[in-house]
Amino acid sequence: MKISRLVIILFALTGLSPLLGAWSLDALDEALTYARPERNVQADFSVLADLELYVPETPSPGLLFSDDEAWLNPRLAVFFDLSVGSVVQIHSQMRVDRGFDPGSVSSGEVRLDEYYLRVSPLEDDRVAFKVGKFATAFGNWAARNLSWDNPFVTAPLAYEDVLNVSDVTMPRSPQALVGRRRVADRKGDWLTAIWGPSYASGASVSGRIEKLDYAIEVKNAALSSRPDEWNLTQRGLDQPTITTRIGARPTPEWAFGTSFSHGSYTLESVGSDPDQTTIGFDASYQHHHLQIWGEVIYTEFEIPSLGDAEAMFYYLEARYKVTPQLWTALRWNHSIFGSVPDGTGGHTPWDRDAWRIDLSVGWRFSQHWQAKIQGSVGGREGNEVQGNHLLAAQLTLKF
Amino acid sequence: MRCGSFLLLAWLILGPSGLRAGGTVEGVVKLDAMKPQPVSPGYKPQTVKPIQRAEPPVAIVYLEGPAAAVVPRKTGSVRIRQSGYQFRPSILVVQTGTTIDFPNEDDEFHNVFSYSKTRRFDLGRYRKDETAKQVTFEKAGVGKIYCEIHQHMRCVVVVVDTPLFTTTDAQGRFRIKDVPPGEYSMKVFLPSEKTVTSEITVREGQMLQLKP
Repeated sequence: MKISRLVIILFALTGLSPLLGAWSLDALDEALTYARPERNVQADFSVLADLELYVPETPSPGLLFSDDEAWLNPRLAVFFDLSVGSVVQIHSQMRVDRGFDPGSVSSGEVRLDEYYLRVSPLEDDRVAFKVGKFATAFGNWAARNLSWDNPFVTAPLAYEDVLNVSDVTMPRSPQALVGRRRVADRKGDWLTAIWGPSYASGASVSGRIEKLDYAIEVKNAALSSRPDEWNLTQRGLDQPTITTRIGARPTPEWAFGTSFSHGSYTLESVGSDPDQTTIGFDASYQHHHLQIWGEVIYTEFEIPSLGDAEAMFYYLEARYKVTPQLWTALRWNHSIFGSVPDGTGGHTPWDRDAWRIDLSVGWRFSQHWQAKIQGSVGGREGNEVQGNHLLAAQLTLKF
Repeated sequence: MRCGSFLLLAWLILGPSGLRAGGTVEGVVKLDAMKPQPVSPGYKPQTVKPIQRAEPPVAIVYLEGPAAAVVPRKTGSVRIRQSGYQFRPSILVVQTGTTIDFPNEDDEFHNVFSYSKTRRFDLGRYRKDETAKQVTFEKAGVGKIYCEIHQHMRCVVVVVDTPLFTTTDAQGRFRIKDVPPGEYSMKVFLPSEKTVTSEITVREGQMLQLKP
């Protein structure tokens, strides 16, 4: 409740400020930047405040943790960037909200979601070393996960659909795994294929040489790991996950990439350390007012005594600017699950195939304000035990 | 055709002689600091080539007053290039009705846009070899222009409703010639985007020197 009040007061103050003539958001934005050009030093605070409304079919789909019929989710993200020339950059992102995923910590919390030191010794993009806690290099969605850049309120299905796989308890029999299909998602125990932007901790080497880019990162948690596991204090680097991506931009319009990730996905308390292996192909196209992104992701969870649980996800997402301020976006998501032994001599899919269409419409009022509304319609194989449809709206303030 | 020739002849005789009677306003503006460029969030490399330095800060000086109405309008087409991941020039003054070309001279896309009330537009993403997109500025005011892809890129277009304007050099020096006699509001748009106004009177043939 306090976070709601904080964000609503922030929205009200900034919305009314031009009318009051006291200060403008441009002025505030500038006041939060400190620059010493002669010393090549610049420091900048910036803020991203979101007020979201969710009206889900219950039980709520994806990584929405509240099952209320309609609820508000406020979020305040404060970024700090310090650059010293072209060599050193420090970045951090602190959030005040109701959990990393909407509603996951109803009483509210303050977190440091991202922090890293980035060193580019050659003073250009050929090679950069990064150490800290930062978004994964896998795929092409993490780079546009923030509300200002994401054409939708939610992530693609591959990044938020909760699967039957758990990092807490290993199913002791095939029936135990398959039986999970008959109950609603246990979001506190089960995992997604890739958990949002996966801000896990570790180090990376990345860069760009002509039309090719690359990234290699070693982190403490698998792509599917939940946010608590991303902190080094929670999970060390004893069972690291290695992720790589190689990308190409043959023309300004097209970009392609292939990613690979491998590492243990269970909590250290489980005892065993089965791995998640993920391979992805991503592509994007942009020209004039059209942008298109797509990814195909194959992931495989090793389950002791059962074998590998395989799944494939793909999505195709397009955004079109109708006018300078109005844009619309459409996304098709699909997930297909492999079969596992059913314990009676046959095979059966270990989770239920799903599809979802997301449609959103957005309006940028200015450099500082943006609003969007998203409607999602989906379906799954078998009996309905989980909500699939969603109406969401998001008001964003940026300065 | 004959009519056109006559008008051209008339302008050659009357126009320059009329303007010769005008004064000159010159001076030095004390330039303040430009607004710092935003730091791009370091998620992923964004450019193939290093970002080149922005141009040194300059100011814009323009004169507003009824006497300016006799001076021919300075409209037409001017350019703001996207070169070395900067807008060049990064500060520009034009008269209302001027069309600005935005050629992309870099190997990557830019996406030039403005949400300013002076002129809202979004040119989308286009290549180096594509025809430059154009925008006509009909309304006086300040247009802030950005690139959606490269956050550090920005440009200011000051659209004025007078043909008596100029841009200072990097030392702040300026000169406006052929100013018809009369009273003017002299406005200086500084690199910090503040505008300073002062009242001046220009007399026939006078060289008005203003000190900072």
